[in-house]
Amino acid sequence: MLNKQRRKLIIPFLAPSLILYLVFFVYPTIKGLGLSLYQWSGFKLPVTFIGLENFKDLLKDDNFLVALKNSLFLFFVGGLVIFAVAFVFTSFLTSGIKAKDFFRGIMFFPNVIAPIAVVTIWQFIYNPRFGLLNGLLDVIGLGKFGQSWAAPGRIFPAITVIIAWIAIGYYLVLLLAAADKIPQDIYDAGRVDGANTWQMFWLVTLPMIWDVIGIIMVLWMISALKQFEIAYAFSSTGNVPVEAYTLPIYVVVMGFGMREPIYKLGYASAIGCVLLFIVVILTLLIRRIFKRENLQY
Amino acid sequence: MKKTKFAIFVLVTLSMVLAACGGQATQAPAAGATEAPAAGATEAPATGANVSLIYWSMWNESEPQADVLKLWMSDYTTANPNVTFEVTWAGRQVLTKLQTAISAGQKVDFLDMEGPALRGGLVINGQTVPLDTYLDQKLAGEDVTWRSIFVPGTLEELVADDGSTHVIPYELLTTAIWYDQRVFDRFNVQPPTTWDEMMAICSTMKADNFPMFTIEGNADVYNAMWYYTLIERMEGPGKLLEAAQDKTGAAWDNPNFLLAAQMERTLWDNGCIIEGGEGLQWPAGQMALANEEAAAELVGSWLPNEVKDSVAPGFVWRSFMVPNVPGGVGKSTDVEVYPLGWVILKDSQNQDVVADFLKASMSKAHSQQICDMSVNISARADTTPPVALQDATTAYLNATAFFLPYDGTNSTIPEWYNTFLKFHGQMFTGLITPEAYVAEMKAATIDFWK
Repeated sequence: MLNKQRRKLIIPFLAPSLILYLVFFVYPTIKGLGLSLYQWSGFKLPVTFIGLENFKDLLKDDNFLVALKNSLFLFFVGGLVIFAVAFVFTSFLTSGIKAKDFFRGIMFFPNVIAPIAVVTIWQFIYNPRFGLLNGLLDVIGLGKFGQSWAAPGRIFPAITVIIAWIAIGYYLVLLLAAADKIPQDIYDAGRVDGANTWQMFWLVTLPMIWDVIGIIMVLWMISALKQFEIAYAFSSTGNVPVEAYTLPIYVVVMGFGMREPIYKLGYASAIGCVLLFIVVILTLLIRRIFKRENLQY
Repeated sequence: MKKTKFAIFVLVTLSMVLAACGGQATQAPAAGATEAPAAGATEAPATGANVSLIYWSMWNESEPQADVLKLWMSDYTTANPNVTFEVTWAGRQVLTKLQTAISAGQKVDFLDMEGPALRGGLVINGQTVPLDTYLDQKLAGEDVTWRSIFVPGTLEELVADDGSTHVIPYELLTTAIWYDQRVFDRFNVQPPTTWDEMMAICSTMKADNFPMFTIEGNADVYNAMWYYTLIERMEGPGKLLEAAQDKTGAAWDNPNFLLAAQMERTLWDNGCIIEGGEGLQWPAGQMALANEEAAAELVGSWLPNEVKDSVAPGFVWRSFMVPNVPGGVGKSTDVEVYPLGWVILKDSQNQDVVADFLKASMSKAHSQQICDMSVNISARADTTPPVALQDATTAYLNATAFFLPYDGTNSTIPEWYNTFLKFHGQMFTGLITPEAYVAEMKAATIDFWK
């Protein structure tokens, strides 16, 4: 009897959030999918139905391919760097080190700085004439390796480093939160068995937080593919060089023109649809890779 | 039964919310539907009727130009107490925001922005009204028509395809090579009139281990100024746009398109450009000029204003245009015209009032405030320019021809322009050769028009 009454209560409690979700997420998504089949400047009419032409044009669009390549580069290469460093620090910080919270705070710090400030710092670091990076190389006798780090051919890897620098702390905190849930007696048992720090991490920590890693990977994938602000801020002048395009930047360039009057809202919607499709596919893929039986401890 | 009622309630509520979201914001797309632009008819408000003009500006409220505009609006309201202004300081993304606003049915009477963007974004999309009738009227208190006060030739540069005038410039920018007179004096050199003279100056400075030019490595919009200006000097105005619109790509076989790229590379090969320039992130390049690490920079006339607080004491601003090239059709006296201006939107119910405000704002006294308060060139010919922009203003007034920024490619075919910037940036910074650049541009142009 009580269960039946409680079930009735679920609907009114669920309805407001469900309606908001449908209105502000599902409806715009469907609308965007529909818009991708039209040619439209965004300035009222005319709106012309062109079927899949926008998607066909994407395949021939070199600038779209640059944006796609950059977004995937950020996800894969940036992800590799972020998680390699985050895992090393997780291993280090779960080894019983003192001042763990201090190090965690230091690593998280870039996340609390405004992106524009972060970018300004890195522009100074990359400056080829008096920048910190070339200066450091000079000091340690490797001056011959000094570069124009943010030159057009290297601009996206340079941006990827900035994003990784910010993101490492964020994902480290998540990994550490997961690792903190592992019972101490499992580590104690490992130590009794003679496991070193690396073995403890590889054979105890990593398997025990495997499901959390899966979720973190999805979070990073979404964060990487929707990256806009750092690449935009790094261009400084408001005109992002094509070499620094990501998919979201290209959506804005084609749909809203930024400072150039392009205004192809249907085409921009098609790019958005591709982005959505990639996110869905990669999410399913990551969830499948990280799927396993729940651990009880 | 109760469940069914509740489900119906949810569905009806949802439908109403969705319908409200749809509405004017996103009119149901109809296949091939078109809408003829309104005739621009307007009903003048009755004398004394209160009017609130909705104005969107490209400036941020803290910028000097915003102060000038605020003053103009204040003066107009003082003279016409029934007219007030609702201003949105939208910044450089004003057109992006306007697009959303128009789609949502929001009313905007008029706005300002870079002229080429206004033409490409609004005029050719039929969102603005022609203003020729107003331009042929006399200005209040002056015995001249509004049309006659502009720097000769500038008003005509942004006319619509049918020749009507929709964009009213109030400020003019141009691109020139900016330098500190003291540095040129130190090397005992004069502004060059030919490319060879410029390279000789570069060699003189290089001998003293001093680079002639600084650049902004990441600002491909700045670096491309070299190319389209050189093409203008070789071929005259409009030739880059012609090549961009040549569906066969054959125009790119013209050897001058390659020669211009090779000349840019000689700037690097001869050490004319500051070391590490390709990696300088704006504003590091212009700061190098302000700090006297380089002698000059090719950039827009906004530069003196942007770095006025950073230049060394005694910095003497001078400028010269990209010099003549051997056998060129264009001349160093041909000037890039880059107007900032207003348009009146076709859905405005206050077109006459807005036009009257614009006319009032272009009085000599008001136009002079653009020079004095915002350190820029006024679109009105009889103003006195700021000292830093004297050379550029003289060039404007004595121009033998005008050409648009990027030769008009950014406003006419902005997608092509983005591709041009990409390949040009790669060539300019040495990632690809001039030959590869021309081949890429030819192929990209053919692809673009397919």
